[in-house]
Amino acid sequence: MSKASQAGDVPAGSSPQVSAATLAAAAKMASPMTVGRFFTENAVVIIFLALTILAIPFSGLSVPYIIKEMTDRLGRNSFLVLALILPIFAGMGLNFGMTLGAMSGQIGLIFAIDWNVVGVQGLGFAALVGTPISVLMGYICGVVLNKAKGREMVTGYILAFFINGIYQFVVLYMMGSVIPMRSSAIVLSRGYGVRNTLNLDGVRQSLDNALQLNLGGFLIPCATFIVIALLCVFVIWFKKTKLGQDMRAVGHDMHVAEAAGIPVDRTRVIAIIISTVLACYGQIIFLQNMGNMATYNAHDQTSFFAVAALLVGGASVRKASIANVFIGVILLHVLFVVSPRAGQNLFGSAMIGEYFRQFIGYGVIALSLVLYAWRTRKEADRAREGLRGGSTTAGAAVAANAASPTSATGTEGAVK
Amino acid sequence: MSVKTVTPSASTGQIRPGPAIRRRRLAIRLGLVAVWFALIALLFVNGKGHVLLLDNQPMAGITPLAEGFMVSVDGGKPVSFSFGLDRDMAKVQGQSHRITVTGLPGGQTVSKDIQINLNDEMAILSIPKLVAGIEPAVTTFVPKNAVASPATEEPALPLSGPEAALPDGGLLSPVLPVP
Repeated sequence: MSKASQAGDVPAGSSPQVSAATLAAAAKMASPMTVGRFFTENAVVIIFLALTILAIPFSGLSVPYIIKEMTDRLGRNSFLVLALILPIFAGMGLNFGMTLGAMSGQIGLIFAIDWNVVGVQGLGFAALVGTPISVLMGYICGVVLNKAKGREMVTGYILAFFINGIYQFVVLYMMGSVIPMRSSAIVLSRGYGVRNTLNLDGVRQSLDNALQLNLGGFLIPCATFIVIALLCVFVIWFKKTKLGQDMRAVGHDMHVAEAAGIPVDRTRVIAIIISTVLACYGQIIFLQNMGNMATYNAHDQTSFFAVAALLVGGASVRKASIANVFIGVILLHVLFVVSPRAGQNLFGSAMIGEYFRQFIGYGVIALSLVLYAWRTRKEADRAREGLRGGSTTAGAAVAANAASPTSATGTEGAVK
Repeated sequence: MSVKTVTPSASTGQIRPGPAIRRRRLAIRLGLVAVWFALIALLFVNGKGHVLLLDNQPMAGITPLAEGFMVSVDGGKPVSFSFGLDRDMAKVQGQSHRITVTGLPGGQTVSKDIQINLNDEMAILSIPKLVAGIEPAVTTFVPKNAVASPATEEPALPLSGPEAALPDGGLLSPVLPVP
């Protein structure tokens, strides 16, 4: 197995041979669900749940406060995390390139503030301005990722750094000089460049407040949840379309999909474009809830936290569902809320809790990737042993799959 | 009736759409671009924010209204013009607004629609003119001493050295923003 494959960065279709992931999927399909396997498959969720349950009493925070925070954060973050699903579906792993979409959304918001378009219309305006930029960014990202098949995640991550440089150049030097800016309130005193922090007063929580429901003392931002629900419906619907089925086929095995006449590269580019555009909208929803925007680094951690939330929810590099999104956002953010206070109460310093947040974010991504790689390798080994003459049903399943490599549906039931 | 055809490309072997399909695709794409521009324009006109100054100060030939009346913009919370208050402001969105003046002498209520110029960031509404029906009651507000306050400006970025390009002077925040 290649190093990249061990790191969990290889989609199933990247090798013409029967890949480790295909072997693992077949083995998983054949082996019964045991307690050990359940713990292995849900290790990240279980660890997070245990940490959260432990931290809540130490934090001293009341349950109503935590519920209120969760309601806010679900509305704020879910859209961004949902944007990650389609690239996973297309076998491209976790789209760290979603940062590009976040930058596009921020550019849209800068123009909305500059032109003083306020309220929900301001958000719509920002989304419309951000859409073509995010489509272009998504196209660039998709083309680059097609050149780096099998290393999509690390390529997306580095690409985000590169585009960040271009974003800084545009916002810091071109806005106000080449790109005309109307409002002196957002331009630096030297006459060009946008200020470090923008006050989004005009659009602050305009979507959240558009339709609010008071449920037992908790204010539910219904409009935001409706938008998120619509996106969930879109994702479910999209998976059933021709393009969605093409993505599924590409995600399972690129070579088989290509042989079946599916334009693999084009399908992958479309998956990334959709994800980038959704990330653009997600960032706008996120920032309208926050009420202000750190112009030069608000997007830095967008993909990082979205990926962490999805992984905490039980998703992996190859498999993600809508349920994973909501479980992940709730679990990650409960821990984010309680950890600083727990840190303060346990160690006498809130800073320890703050560092704990960062540790959790990076830790969960690393843990999830290591577990995924370990699990894939273990299951592939088990399946190979079956192939060598063992009598396991996994081996039989893999043998059947290997005998007809052109069958795109050979492992379809296993990887959903 | 146009004939939709697909022809295989000689070089790649891939199926290429015929001219009728290509024309239709182009028309759809141009239509989408037009819709995009139309939506931008619609949202800009409807969502443009203005500051509306509600004014009861004496003007040339206009006598201010007697104190004690209330002004409501678009059915919002009424502003009471009493205790010497002769000017207030309201943040509004869009161009058309309904102004309701209550508590006038004799219990009279006046309700009128006004239009704000799209380019006006700040407009001034003369309430005596509005009540008297004198046009134009809404005019562009031009501040007498329009001088930018230097105190509100941010320090300039370093213009040279390795930190010149960094917006926060090179000290990138080590603490993550709270998601």
